[in-house]
Order: sequence, then C-alpha cells, then structure tokens
Amino acid sequence: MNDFAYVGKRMTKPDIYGKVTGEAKYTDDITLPGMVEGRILCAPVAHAKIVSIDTSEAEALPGVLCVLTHKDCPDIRFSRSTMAEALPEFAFTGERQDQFILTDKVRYMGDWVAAVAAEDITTAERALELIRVEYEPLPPVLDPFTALEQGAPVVHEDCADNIAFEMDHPFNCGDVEKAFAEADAVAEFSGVNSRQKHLHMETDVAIASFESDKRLVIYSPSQGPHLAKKHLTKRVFPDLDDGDIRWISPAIGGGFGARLALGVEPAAVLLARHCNRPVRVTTTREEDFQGYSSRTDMHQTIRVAATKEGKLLAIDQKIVSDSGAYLSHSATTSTVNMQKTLGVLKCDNIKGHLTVVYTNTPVTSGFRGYGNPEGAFVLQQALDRLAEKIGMDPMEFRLRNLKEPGDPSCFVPVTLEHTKLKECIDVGAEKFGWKDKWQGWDAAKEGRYRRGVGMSVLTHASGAGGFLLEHSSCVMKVLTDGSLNLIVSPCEMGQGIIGALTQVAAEATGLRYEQIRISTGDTDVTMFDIGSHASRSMLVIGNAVHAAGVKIHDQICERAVKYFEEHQVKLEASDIKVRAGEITSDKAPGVVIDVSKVAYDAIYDFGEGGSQLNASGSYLSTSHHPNHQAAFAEVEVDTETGQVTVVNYVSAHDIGRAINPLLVEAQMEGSLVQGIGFALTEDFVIDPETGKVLSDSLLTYRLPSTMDVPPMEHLLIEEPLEAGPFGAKGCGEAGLVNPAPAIANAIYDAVGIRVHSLPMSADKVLWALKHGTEEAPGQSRVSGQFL
Amino acid sequence: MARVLQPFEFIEAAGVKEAVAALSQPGTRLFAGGCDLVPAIRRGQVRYDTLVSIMKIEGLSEFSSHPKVGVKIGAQVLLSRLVNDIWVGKRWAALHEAVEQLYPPHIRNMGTVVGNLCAAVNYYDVPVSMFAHRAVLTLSDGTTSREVGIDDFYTGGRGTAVGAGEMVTQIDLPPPAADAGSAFKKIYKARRRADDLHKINAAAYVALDEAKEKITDATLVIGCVGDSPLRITAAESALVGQVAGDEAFNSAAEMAVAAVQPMTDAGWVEEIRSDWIRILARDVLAQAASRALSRHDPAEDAHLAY
Amino acid sequence: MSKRIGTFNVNGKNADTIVEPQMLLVDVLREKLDLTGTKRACAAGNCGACTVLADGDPICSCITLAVAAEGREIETVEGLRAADGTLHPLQQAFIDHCAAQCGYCTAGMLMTAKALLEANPRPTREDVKRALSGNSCRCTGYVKIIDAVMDAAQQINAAKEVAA
Ligand SMILES: Cc1cc2nc3c(=O)[nH]c(=O)nc-3n(C[C@H](O)[C@H](O)[C@H](O)COP(=O)(O)OP(=O)(O)OC[C@H]3O[C@@H](n4cnc5c(N)ncnc54)[C@H](O)[C@@H]3O)c2cc1C
Ligand code: FES
Ligand code: FES
Repeated sequence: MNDFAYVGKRMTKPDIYGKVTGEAKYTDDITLPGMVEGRILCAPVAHAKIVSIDTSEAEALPGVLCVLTHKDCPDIRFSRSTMAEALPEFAFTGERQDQFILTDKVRYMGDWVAAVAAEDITTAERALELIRVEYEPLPPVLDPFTALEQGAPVVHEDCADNIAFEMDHPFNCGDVEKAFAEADAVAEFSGVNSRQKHLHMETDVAIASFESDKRLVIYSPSQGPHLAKKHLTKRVFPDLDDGDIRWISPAIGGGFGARLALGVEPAAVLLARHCNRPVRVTTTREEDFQGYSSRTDMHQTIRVAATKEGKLLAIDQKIVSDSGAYLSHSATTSTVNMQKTLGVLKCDNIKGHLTVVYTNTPVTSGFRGYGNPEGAFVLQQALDRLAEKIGMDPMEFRLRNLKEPGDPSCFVPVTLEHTKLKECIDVGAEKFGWKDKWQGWDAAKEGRYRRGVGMSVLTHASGAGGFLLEHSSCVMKVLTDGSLNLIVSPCEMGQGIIGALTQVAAEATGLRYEQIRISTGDTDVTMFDIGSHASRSMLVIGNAVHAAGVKIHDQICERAVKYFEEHQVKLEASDIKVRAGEITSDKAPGVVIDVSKVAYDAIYDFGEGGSQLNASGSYLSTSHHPNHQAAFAEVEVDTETGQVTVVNYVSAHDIGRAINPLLVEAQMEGSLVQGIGFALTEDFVIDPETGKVLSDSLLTYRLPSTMDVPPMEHLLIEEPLEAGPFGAKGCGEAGLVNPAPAIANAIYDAVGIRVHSLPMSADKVLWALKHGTEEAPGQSRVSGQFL
Repeated sequence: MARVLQPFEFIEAAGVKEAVAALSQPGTRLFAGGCDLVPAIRRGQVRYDTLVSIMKIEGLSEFSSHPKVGVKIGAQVLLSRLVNDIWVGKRWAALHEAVEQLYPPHIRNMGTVVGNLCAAVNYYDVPVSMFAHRAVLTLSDGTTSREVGIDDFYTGGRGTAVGAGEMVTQIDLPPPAADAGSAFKKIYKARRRADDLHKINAAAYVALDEAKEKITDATLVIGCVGDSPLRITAAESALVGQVAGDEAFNSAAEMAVAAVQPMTDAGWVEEIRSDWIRILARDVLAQAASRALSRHDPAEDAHLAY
Repeated sequence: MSKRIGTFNVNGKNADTIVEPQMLLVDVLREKLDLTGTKRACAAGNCGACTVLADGDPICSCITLAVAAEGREIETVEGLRAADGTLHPLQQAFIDHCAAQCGYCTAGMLMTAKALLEANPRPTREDVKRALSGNSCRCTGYVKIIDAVMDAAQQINAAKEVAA
C-alpha cells in the first residue's frame, strides 16, 4: 500500500531556489513607483501622559509629506492579535481591543507616539528627531504582582485593577482538593519563563498603497493575510470592507507566531491615506527588541499529586501572565498553556486558574508553541519532583499516566483518537540509552563537570478544529503540458509547507512534482484561510489540497479511458491510475499514457468535451488531532561557572506520517535550537527601575549560534492518522516545547538544583549551586516558592 | 534609533598631519574600520559632521612579529591579521585568544586593532589582552610622536590619552621573557540592571625563573568591571617570587575579587560576578603559567575556552 | 567628499551610482544597485545576514560605509552563480539539504561559507561551525547548513580532482 510516488520522500522544496540565489522577494525588497518611506516615533519613557506634540518643525522639513499623531487615527481601539477573527463571537471576550495605531498615552517604553512619511528614509528619520513631545511622566508598574496590588498605577484607564483577563480552566474537573488530601505524594513547582523574542531575521515592515481605483494593496509578511485583512477592516479601519483590500504576503523572513499579530500595517495604511502615496514603513532591530512581540512571561505554580504506585491523581495550575502594555495574544496563549499542560497526561482531577495582567512593559504575543513551552517548563519539573517523591523513574512515571485513544484530549470536548506517545517514549529512550544513563534519584556525581539526563513529553495540536475557523479551500488547474497550478493559502515562512503541499498535490493528482507550481500569499487569488499557525497547515490545508487533487486524478482517469481504447483496451475509469505524470492500468500492461496528452486534449478540444482540467477542494477540521513527542536530553554542568552545555538530545515524534521527513527534521532541528536558546541563553531583561529593555541587541540577547548545536537525533514514529492527508499530523510548533523542561530535569539530575526562571543561565545555575534552590534570589509571587 | 545615518562629510586623509589637522574642526572624528563608529552613529549615541578616514594614509599598515623583537601593529592593521600569525599565537597567546574569540568573526575583517583600543569600550577583549602584554602606543601629531604605555592610555569614562591634534599610529608589544606565557578568557552573563555588565573578561601574563618554578613577573587584568581594564597590581606583586601553583593563583584570584568595586545594588548579581572574576583570574594565571612551562600553542587549548 | 558618483566593483562588474558619505554599503547594494539578495537583519554587525565578500573576506555590509568599499572587489549572493546560470556548489548543497528555511540568513551564510571554503577547502565540521559562528539563523538550527557546507566542500574538491 505504501507505494507513494512522492509522499514520505526526502525532497527539497520548490521555494528554496529563490532563497539561495537571492531572487526571492521579501517585503523590504519591493519598491513601488512613487513609494515613500514611513517611520514611527517610539516613546522614550515607560508610562506618561502626552501633554503636547509639536510637529511643526518636522512638517516644515523639505521632503516630509505628513506627520501624524493620535488625533489623526481612527477613534477605535483594536488588538494586534488577529485571532478575534478566527474565533466565534462568544469565545473571544478574552481578546480586549485595547490600543490605537498611535497612542493617546504612553504605556510602555517604545509605544508609538507619532508617524512620519517622507520622500526618503533619511528625511523621515530626521523628521522624527524634530517632533517635540512633552511627556508628563507617570509612575510605571513593571511587574505583574505589583500591578495587582491595590493602588498600583493603572495602565489602561478602563481597567482599574490592571486585570486584562481572568478565567478558570473551562475544563476543570473532579475534586482536586480531595485528591490532594488522599494522595500518597504531592509535589509542587513554580517557575516563570522569559520573554523569548521571536527574532525573525526580517524586522517588521509593511507597504500600503491605495491604487487609483481606491483599492488598498498591502504588502507585508503576514502569517495569515486573510485574517489580518478581516481584522484590519473590522477593527482598525471600519470604513473599509473585506473586498477593499488586497493583502499580499511576499516571502516571509521568519514568523514563529509574531506575524500572527498586526505589525506596522495599520501605520502604513494611515500614512498612505494621508499622503496619497504608497508608503513603506520599516523598523529597526532595536525597535523590535523594545517593541511589541515576544513570548508572554507566565508566572506559574503547578501542584501535582500521585499514588505511590505512580498514578497521577491531580494537577492544579495557577498562572499569572504579564501581557505587557497591551493584551495582544497573551490571554489566548495563557489559555492554551492551561489546555496543554493540564491535558498532556491522564488525570481525573484538574484545576486551572489564569490571570493576565497589564504592566508598563513591552507587549507580548504568540510564539511558536503558543503557551505550551511555558507550561511544560513548570509541569514537567513538577512531575519529576513527584516521581522523585515516590522513588520512581521519571520515564516510568509518565508511561503509567499516558492517555489512550478514547480518553478526553487536551482540548477536552474532543476525544483523543490517535496517540503514539508511548511508542515515542519507548523508541526515544532506547536510542538515548535512558536505562543506562539515568542512574536513580540519588545517583552521586562528582567533579567540576557533571553530567545528567532528563526527559519531557508533550502533546500539541494540529490546528484547533472545533474551536477556531478550521477550514480551508484551494483551486487547481492543469495546463497543457500536464503541469498544475495550485492556488492555496498557507504562508511559507520557511517551515516548508509549500514543499509538503506540493508533494500532497503531486501524490493526489498523479501529476509530476516538478510540474506543480503553487500560488499563494495573495488574498485576491487564494481562498479564505486563517493562516499558518498552530501546526494546522499540513492537516487542514493539506486535506483541502488532497480533496482537490483526488478530483483532478479522477478527471484524468475518466478522460484517459478513450486513450486506452486507442490501444484496444476497454477500461472503466476506476481501472486506471495516475502516478508521477503517467497514466497506467494493471489491466493494460505496457501501456503508458502521459498526462500531458490528456491535459492538452482537454483544453484543445474544439468539439464538445473542451474544458481545462480543474478542481477545487475544501476541508473542515473538527478536531485538533494532537501530535506528541518525547524528548531526552543530556547536559554537562560546569559547577564552577554554572554554565550548562547540552551534549546530546534525542526526540521522538508522533506525527502520523511525515509527508517529507527532510522537512520534518528541519523543523525539529530548528525548534530544538530555539528551545535551547529558550532554556539557556535567551534572556530578555527589562530594567526593573525604568522599564527599559536592557537586552536590546543581538550582543546582549544571546541567540544560539552554530557553536551551541548539540548532537541530536529526531526519530519519526509514523502511524497514519486517518483524518490526515496521507495520514499526516502537524509538527512545526511542538519541537520548542520539550527542550527547556528536559534540560531542566537533566540539570537537576546532574547537580541537584532547579532554576525556577528561564533562561537557566550560568549566573542563576551558579547561585543555586551555592545557595541551594530554596535560597535563590527571587521568590515566586504566585506561590512563595523560590525562583 | 535609526535605520540610516544622517549626512556627514568624509575625508580620506593622505597623511597623519592632514588627518590631525582636520580634527581641529569641531564635530570631527577619526575613522578607521568604522565598526565602532557606524553603529554608534546609527543608534544616535554620537553624531559627527566630518569623519576623517585614516585608511589611505601611507605607512600605517605595518605589521610584524618576532619573539625576540616584539609585535608592531600599524593603525590600519585589521584584527584578522593577528589571527593566523604564528608568533602572536605562540608568544602573545592572550592577544591571540582575545582576537580568535572575538565574536562575530566578520568584525575581524573590518575592525582595526588600534580602533578597538581607541574606542575605549569597557567590555572589549583586545584591550584586556594588551594590558597583559604591556602594550605601548605611539601617538603622533604628524611631526613628533610620543609613546604611552597602555596603563596610562585610558583616562576615565571613554577618554584616552590621545590629545587634540594627535592620533595613534602604532602599537608595540615588547617581547615576552624567555619562559613566559599568557592567556585570555571571558564569560558572558545577562545584564540584570542598567548599571550591570553582560560580560567579564580576564588576561594574564606569567614569567618563570630558569628553573621554571617561581614566578619572576606577572600581569593580571580584569575587564568589564570599570571604565577600562583593571590591573590587579596587588596580586601581581604578591605573585612575584612565589611558586607557580594553585596556592599562589588562588590567593591572587582573591585579590582580584577584592580589587573590583561593586557595580550594582543587587547582591546576588555581585556575588556571581565575584565568583566569575575569581575563576577567571585563577584560570588565566594557571593557563599562562602552564604555557610558560611548556611554551605551548594556545590553539591546542581551544577546547578550554568557556 | 559629499554627493558624487562612485564606482563599485560588484560581482566582477563596475557599476556607477550616486553615493553620499553616510550611505551604508548594504543600502547602496540594495537600493542603488538593485541587489536585494543581501539582507539587513540587525544593522549592527551582530548577525551576518548582510555578509558580502570584500576582496574575498566576509564583511558586514550593514556597518560598512559605501565609500569605504569603493575600490574593493565586492561579491554578493547574486554573483555566486556561474555565468551560464549554473548554481554554485554551495547553493546546490543548500538546496539538496534543505538548508534554507525562511531564507533571510541564507545569502550571508553562503557568502561566509564561500570565503571559508576558499581559505580552507577541506574543513572539519568544527571549522565550519567556527566560521559560521557569526551568522545567526533563527529557523534551521544550523544542522542542515553545516551539512550543506560539508557536502559542498566535497563536491568542489571532487570536481577539482576530475579537472586535474
Ligand atoms: C558586532 C561587533 C562585535 C564585536 N565584538 C567584539 C568582541 O567580541 N571583542 C572585542 O574586543 N571587540 C569586539 N568588537 C569591537 C571591534 O573590534 C571594534 O569595534 C573595532 O576593532 C574598532 O576598530 P575600527 O577600525 O572599526 O574603529 P572605528 O570604529 O573606525 O573607530 C573606533 C574609535 O577609535 C578611534 N580611532 C580609530 N583609529 C584611531 C587612531 N589611529 N587614533 C586615534 N583614534 C582612533 C575613532 O575615532 C573611534 O572613536 C565588536 C564590534 C562589533 C561591531
Ligand atoms: S545585518 Fe549586518 S550583521 Fe546583522
Ligand atoms: S533560514 Fe530563516 S533565519 Fe536562517
């Protein structure tokens, strides 16, 4: 059965050619006739009233076209997160619409105060310097717990308690307190993740242009242009309607979730409107650092309880998230944290509570993993502590509490129909040599450099069917040479989805891989789709492509019947198959008809049968079809400096089927290295006195480099998911979830300490080594435990 | 914070005299590789009306190295020139390591050695190693020149001994003693407060007596802890006459910790910083001494870098 | 020296364009010479995305004044392909190994790797890691990039042996 022409093969991807030659056009590479340059003035204080803005000098500068401030903006608040447009009305109460394009009051250092368009960028930047703003400083609140105190400075006037969002986990169940009371062992872990920056290499940029027919064309690297367009018309520029905008996503220089929020597009549109010229708004890396996208820091406490036989009885999670000055994705990511954290293992008593707080710090957003890495860092360490209490191998403990098909999934109303997490653990442990390397909870290690091992497991979604608008559609047409134009909506940010969809299309239609060309990224051309995130593209969009592909395949077979007749073979369409551009039938051995013949004749038919081969396909997903992973990390800790090095990493992935193992590996390697950065080096530091971002360059914010890449192995556990295209599940996001907890557990195994805040940088590790975990420099304000 | 630089004039001086003469205009600055100046101008930290490039001046590109004579580095010599120089590698190991570990490597192809010193940035690595090697800088006004030891080169803040109407034309490193070695190391950390630093670096030079037992001369330098590299003179004099070994190095390391002023009010940050200073001081001394013993090639120690 | 016509030798060809002293090489390449393959990601010399070769050495075009690059032989990603369009072995290896994801770091990676292979045609994996340590990539986790450079080195050497 497994006789695929393309599916499952390690193939390179079509969009890579332009990337290695420099031909690929990213937004910043596009120049429109008459285009001018836009730049934004960012506030230099964390919290202030804007007393006055004098733009006269800036406006007088030759070459300046317009200088805009709050008073020039539509009087309507919006959220940078576009997810409101993918959620049913009742569910999206969490997404507060809380900001203006240019702000009325400064709420973080970097908040947008004014915008300029000028003939060239030098003039635009000079004009920014000439804008005189008088600020009346207000005391800033820079920490979520201070923000929650009575009498704390208020970030948003309409939100006096600074609580942007609060909820109980909708799927709380059982009796958690009773379970804790009856348990043989109870453990707790508190921790907080850092505000990991997306660090997409392409800094934020957008071009807005009103064409002569008044239509607005936007070029920007969006992960979901249809959604962004809808959001922009509904909540930012209500005088525009869906059809008034054409949104083009050119090549995208990295997304990781950041491009799921609006960036500079609204400012570009505003400027373009005012100066009647196409405007390109650009940003700098420093602005990106002080600006509006990073992971949300979630302060959490997780308590877990078990029987001495290792049955997980209860999980209780409390989250206090610091959304920064505006809410954006913080409420949704925190909610997803609860779902994934409380739902990864089988447990009958779960309780979760979540508070999202405003502070005068940069805005946080959705980042690959979308809450899951944040939660896993805490949960997986709590589980290890619990396993230690009952004296059980942490792997064994997890194995005893795995969910099985039929159990509620991590998104509780949907049942889990497919999981290979057990196989992941088994295969991963075998490859890693867990049984030999894990030497028990009291294994003594000595010497300056000590090694340890740790593990972690996860569940993640392939889309959010049943919750988000999880449908997608595509269109296919076949040209006279048997090549295919596929018009489909994923956003290629580098994750390889174009390549994988090409394989699905080639397999389903029977056409040749090399002859499939994908058109994407243009909302005038592609069908509605909520974009590439939540590892949904392969499953949802892939199924739509599969559906259309099968139709093309069948059309070819029907038309091919007559060609077999020319060979004196009488066949039914169902006897015929198309594969890699060749039409054959088991009933006509030796006869091979090229698809181009059929495709050509279909168009050049001057009789009655003339019609280009074409089809559309749609798919609606009703489940989130979780994928799973188990990961094993080995680290070496330098007990004198506190530095941690990952020396080996093995991860096994339950992905249904790898449409292209090369692309899956590439995703996993990339997310692992991001995960290592998240775990060990990437430290987003905000000055506790001023709210200024101290790590505002790649010098102070340490991205992993080639020197930080450990030996690694990614194992694929393939058992097709019935609902997946050729059995595939999603995979892109999950790889970032396990590294931090697996490394954390390995550090504990090596040196017996746990660092409660990410990253587990050398200074914190060294502190904990010297003073013990219970005396660490900070204390969890959620639970009182030490950080 | 800008994407582009605001306009300025650019002069390519043909001689030292012309270069320093141009400097008499206010808002004028010498320009070498630009690694320091260009980002600083873009970020709005400094602004100049005129930059005077020294890269076309005749006679400033000299580089030579000889174990008995020393190293000469002209003002135009790029950092990359040092990386593959065999004698720098063998006999001026601290400098070699500072440049070899300079990150990202591209900067070595763009920045000058002299520019790195003249920038007077307190977390740079090359100056620390230059202290260990007791570099001497030649300052010239185009007619006369004077020599300034690196100890006297930094004058506080980002100031240097380069006077109005002067520039640095050359750096000289004296030859090390026959049985001497040197080493450089650094550790990165996160900045926790505005006044905290994100890095610590250290370099040492150790010379041994003929029996290769006792220390006859030593330099110990800690960087990133003040405006400019800090020589731990108490430790240096205490080391002389002692047997090169753990005991001597550990106590020198303690002196290094004691010599460094606290920088932040966060106690735990100070404590970790002190620990790292202790480890770095001990390790550069030990490694320098081991090189003095074996005169061995630092490239072989690449794996010992943190 | 203020606004004037400058001559740049890029990818073996001389190109004249108006330059001003404050212009950065990356902007002249991208905006004046339409060579948009070279990217800017940090504009501070930290990430290597803007790497071009100057007389064979990798430099960051984002912190290089254009006027300082006049008279030097500049190579950009657009110059990697042979005159007949054949991909450079490094480009081919990046394709085969799927070593570019979003592609924003790719031009810089290729140029740095090219300089490495010219200086050190038989690098070890460690050599490749070191040479590329100043080129940040957020997408790939570097593994496939390192694989590709190792592979390209072999291809180039094999081709040389055949030619010899
Ligand atoms: C991204 C990045 C990373 C870096 N990493 C490191 C690192 O890890 N370790 C490290 O040690 N350094 C590092 N550096 C510093 C780098 O080595 C220096 O910026 C560079 O060597 C400066 O030399 P330049 O020729 O570019 O100087 P320029 O930028 O041209 O000049 C620097 C300063 O020196 C003055 N100056 C230059 N020449 C003379 C002269 N002859 N006489 C008097 N004054 C002069 C200039 O007026 C200016 O003030 C890094 C720099 C960057 C941009
Ligand atoms: S863009 Fe030049 S080094 Fe980052
Ligand atoms: S491929 Fe995206 S940054 Fe390297």
